[in-house]
Amino acid sequence: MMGAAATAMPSGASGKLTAQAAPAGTTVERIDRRLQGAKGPVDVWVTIDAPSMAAQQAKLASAAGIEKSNKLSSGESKTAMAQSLEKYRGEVGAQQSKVAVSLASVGAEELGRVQVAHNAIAVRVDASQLEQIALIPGVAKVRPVINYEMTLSETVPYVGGAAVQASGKDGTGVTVAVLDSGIDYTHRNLGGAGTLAAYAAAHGGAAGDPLSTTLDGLFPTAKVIGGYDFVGEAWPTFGDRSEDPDPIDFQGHGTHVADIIAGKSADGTHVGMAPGAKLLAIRVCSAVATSCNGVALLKAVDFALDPNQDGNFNDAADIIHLSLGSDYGQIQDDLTEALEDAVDLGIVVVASAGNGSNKPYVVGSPSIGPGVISVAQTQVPSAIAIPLVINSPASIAGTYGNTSTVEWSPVGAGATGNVAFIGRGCPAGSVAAGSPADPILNSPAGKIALIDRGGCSVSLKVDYAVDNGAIGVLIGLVAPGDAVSFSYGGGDSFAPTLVIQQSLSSAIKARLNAADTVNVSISPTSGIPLVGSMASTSSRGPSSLQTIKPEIGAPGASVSAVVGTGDGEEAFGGTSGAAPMVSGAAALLLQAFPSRTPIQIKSMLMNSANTQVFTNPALLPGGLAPITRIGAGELRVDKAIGLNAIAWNPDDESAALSFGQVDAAFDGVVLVKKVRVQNFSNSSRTYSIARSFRYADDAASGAVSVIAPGSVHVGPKGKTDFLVSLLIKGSKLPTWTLNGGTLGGNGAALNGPEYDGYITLTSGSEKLSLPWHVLPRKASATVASPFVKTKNGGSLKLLNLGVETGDYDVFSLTGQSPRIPRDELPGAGDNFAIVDLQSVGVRHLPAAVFGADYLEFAISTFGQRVHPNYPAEFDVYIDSNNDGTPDYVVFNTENGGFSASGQNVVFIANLTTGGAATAVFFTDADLDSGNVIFTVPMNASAGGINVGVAPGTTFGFSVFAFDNYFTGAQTDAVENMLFTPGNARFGVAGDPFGTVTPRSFATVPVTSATVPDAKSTETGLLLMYRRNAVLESEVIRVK
Amino acid sequence: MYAGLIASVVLAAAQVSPGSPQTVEVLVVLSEPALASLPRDATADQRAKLQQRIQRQQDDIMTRLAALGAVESARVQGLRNAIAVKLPPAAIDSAKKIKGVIGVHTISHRNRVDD
Repeated sequence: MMGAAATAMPSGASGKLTAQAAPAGTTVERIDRRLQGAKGPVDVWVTIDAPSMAAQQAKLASAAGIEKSNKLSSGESKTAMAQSLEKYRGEVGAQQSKVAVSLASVGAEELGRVQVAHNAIAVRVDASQLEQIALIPGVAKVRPVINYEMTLSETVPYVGGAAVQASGKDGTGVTVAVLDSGIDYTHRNLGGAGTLAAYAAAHGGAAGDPLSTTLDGLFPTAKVIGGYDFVGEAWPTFGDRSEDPDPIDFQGHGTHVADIIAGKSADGTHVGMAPGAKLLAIRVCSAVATSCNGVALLKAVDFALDPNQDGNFNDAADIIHLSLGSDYGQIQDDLTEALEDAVDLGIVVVASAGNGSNKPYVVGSPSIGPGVISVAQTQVPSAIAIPLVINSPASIAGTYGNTSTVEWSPVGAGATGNVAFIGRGCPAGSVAAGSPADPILNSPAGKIALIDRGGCSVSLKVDYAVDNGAIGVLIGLVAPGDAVSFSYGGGDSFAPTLVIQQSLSSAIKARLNAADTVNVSISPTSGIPLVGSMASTSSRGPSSLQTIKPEIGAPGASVSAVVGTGDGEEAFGGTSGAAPMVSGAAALLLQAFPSRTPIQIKSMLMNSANTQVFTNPALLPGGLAPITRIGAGELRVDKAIGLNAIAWNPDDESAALSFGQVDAAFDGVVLVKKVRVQNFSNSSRTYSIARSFRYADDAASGAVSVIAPGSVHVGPKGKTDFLVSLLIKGSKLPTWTLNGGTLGGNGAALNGPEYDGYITLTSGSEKLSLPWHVLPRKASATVASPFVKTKNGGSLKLLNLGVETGDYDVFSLTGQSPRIPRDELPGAGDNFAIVDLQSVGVRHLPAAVFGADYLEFAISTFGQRVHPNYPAEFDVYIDSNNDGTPDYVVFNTENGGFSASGQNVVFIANLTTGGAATAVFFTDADLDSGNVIFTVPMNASAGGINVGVAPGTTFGFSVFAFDNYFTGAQTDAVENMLFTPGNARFGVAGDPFGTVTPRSFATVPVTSATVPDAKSTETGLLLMYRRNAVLESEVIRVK
Repeated sequence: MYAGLIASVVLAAAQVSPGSPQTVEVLVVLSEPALASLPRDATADQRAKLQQRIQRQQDDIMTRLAALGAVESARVQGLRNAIAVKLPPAAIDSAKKIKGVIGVHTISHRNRVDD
């Protein structure tokens, strides 16, 4: 049903002024706090309470999803949606007209209207009339029009773009292909007329409008010189991918990106990084979902290489830009491979690293492609963190930087007052339907409310507190960890709000309980500048190829063009907003040096980057960001354009030295990388070479030494190479504590074992810097001697020649699988992964020793994964009663879903009862490993979630391996295994795990028993090693 | 793959097409070299000849794929010589055996990197 109910306008939207329409106090809440105290003429956005066209479209899409299950064809849905949207557009227009009449009646001068992304009217009005405007029926909010030109002017000059533009380079002659959701070529920043009418003529204003598929004489333009729509209007929600010649944007992502790269308004007040560059709008991303079509992407790369489709690439774009990808990037990705080929053809390719946050190995494809430039996000220059200042009592007075703001309730001018702890603060009906309001423990009237997180949406808590008189709100976390932000979940009464850590919340409560008065300030004046630091959401490397990715950072959140608004602008963040800064910078360099190759342009950008980038000045003052977050540093294109030479590693196609992950079992591990230096000048140059560590404690440890010559000489227009070596002393490395379970998403934990820094070449005032990085794992080198058999078993001797204690776990070996032939394994671009099982083992941890019965399954594979999350899932199907039908399945997956947490966990699902699977333990799996161990509650002794196996009862099981990244396909299996807990054929006397100290051996007593084949498929023992060089697992054949 | 039943883990893969649950979309990679294999200074005649060979091979193989129930959805020839088709999963093995087919790959979709 997409009928009247879905499109009905809110009641009361008559447009007449009526002072009785709203209860007292409502108008103040509708007026943005930034307008409080305003005098004289002000420019404001009057937001109307009906959804924007885009929001309405989303609603209809959702509704259509329900209808699809009712057998309505996609064609019918599409038609119905278009009709509904068209009707709704008329209603929005009518409502805006009514509100506009009321605005005019209070002397407001209309500046413009928007309907697509926002439903609002911009007016200039005397501030004394704001309360009257807020009373107009249908008005939801009155917000200031931000002087975006001022904000825009932050980022381009900050990275050196304005200086380069002032020197006469603006990207003229360079073409950038933007593979995204299309481009609104009618926007004033992109050479369009800059009117709503122009957009309506080009698109029609609703997805599926026929105008959005035809050129109508409006495209191409002088700015957006070509393009194509390879995805169409319907995919994936309403129908199949389709193609049409009109790449007009509806969703908005691509328009932001294009503006940051090459925007330029006719009046010259707005300029992107390369305002003289031309654009190709190649539409590959959906207008109705966040997906970008895989077929469309491959066609788009072809189009970028040959826009006129004549088979000759002489009209190829100079730069291909992609603010899209997939976290945990894998080299088998076909788009990554295609873009590598594009780089080989001389195209500069720039891609966002992703917004996967500070999780090891989360950096996405296609940015992991060696030749692709992978871009991280840094903070805009004006960004600040707002701490909580406790003014009194003295015992806890101070400035606390581990806070977070919430977008929907900004700090604004701030607030100072005494704190009142009101409890959980959930209003009636917010916890569950009909739930009572939480009691207000202490009145917050005129105070700053402290509220515990939990139970209901945080925005409803704030609303509840403000309704009870609070002038500010502190949301106290109830579990340890950094302060985090929260999304909007309802409510309309807000006051300056900060989220604080549990520890600080507890400290405040303790003083309140002691009858102290706690006075605090939430104030932007005490803000901590974040300029030159990381955005917390920017994805971390290294890549799955063990390379330094991302490679360069740039500020995100540049204010840029909003689709369908004519001339509207707003901040656009994430690495999607950062990467266009780099594409624009590359365009400036290509104008200056049109014959330079992708690796030369990339090296210019990386060699000149500002290396002084910090993690978070509010949380970690002075703490530099690790190389695997920022790569070479933050973009400085004014420095790049002036370089006389560049330095890079030709093997990895990057101006970075990626030594990767290495198991260091002894003190003489040596890794070598080549640096190539190219001199563009007409005179010979000599560069001194400095080696530095990012962190003083890494240098002081003596575990890693960087070896390089003291200088390098390069002749005029010449090239020369030198080597940089790392000498790793395994014994001095810290003990490896990383894992892919509990710490699988913990980037901070990666800081310890990583070693990184810069190689800096200096000649006069010119500096060329290359980041270096290695992830050494202090390792044992344990091997088992041949099994020595005795009457009732025998023994194993484990010899550890390494520098780390050798940890081992012993399992009954129940199955093996042959190695899959090399010619069946995927290569780069093949779009599938093979998970190749090697050995499977199992053991019983008895209740008598471990308090409850547990089973542990050991799975080793040929080949390693950098992270246990991807691309492998293992399913253990357990036939608890051995009747031939599986009863449970145990499997691993990422906690919370794809790229949600980085943590790998073990789930159990009951195949008999069905229903949801339940997580039972974190997966025992390391980074850079081919081993996983699943711990599983065996029976009720270990809790209600178990696999129903009794000691002494034979169960059957099979292990299946899946590619869980590309195809979902099963890639290998070991089936029909049997094991009897408490009656193993082979085992060890005592604990089935232990350690071998470095440079020594341990003897492991092996037991054996006569168990019929009907009860066991054991053929020996499976040794699983941790942090062990060379061998990760070892099979000991006993039978 | 059990996790796929409880969480969205697989990025895209050979997705069943809306409205036609019996088919999957795959990329059929062909043996003739793509246009990008030509040297930069290749003549127009060389380019035209390779384009003709690619076109001919794509036409021939598409005919064979159609006989397996495949429906063409796209062709590329710049960086890859390949045809995207929707076909019954059971036909994939047969498609791999067609002379001139060097690979049948799943289609991976990506996501915008939203803020």
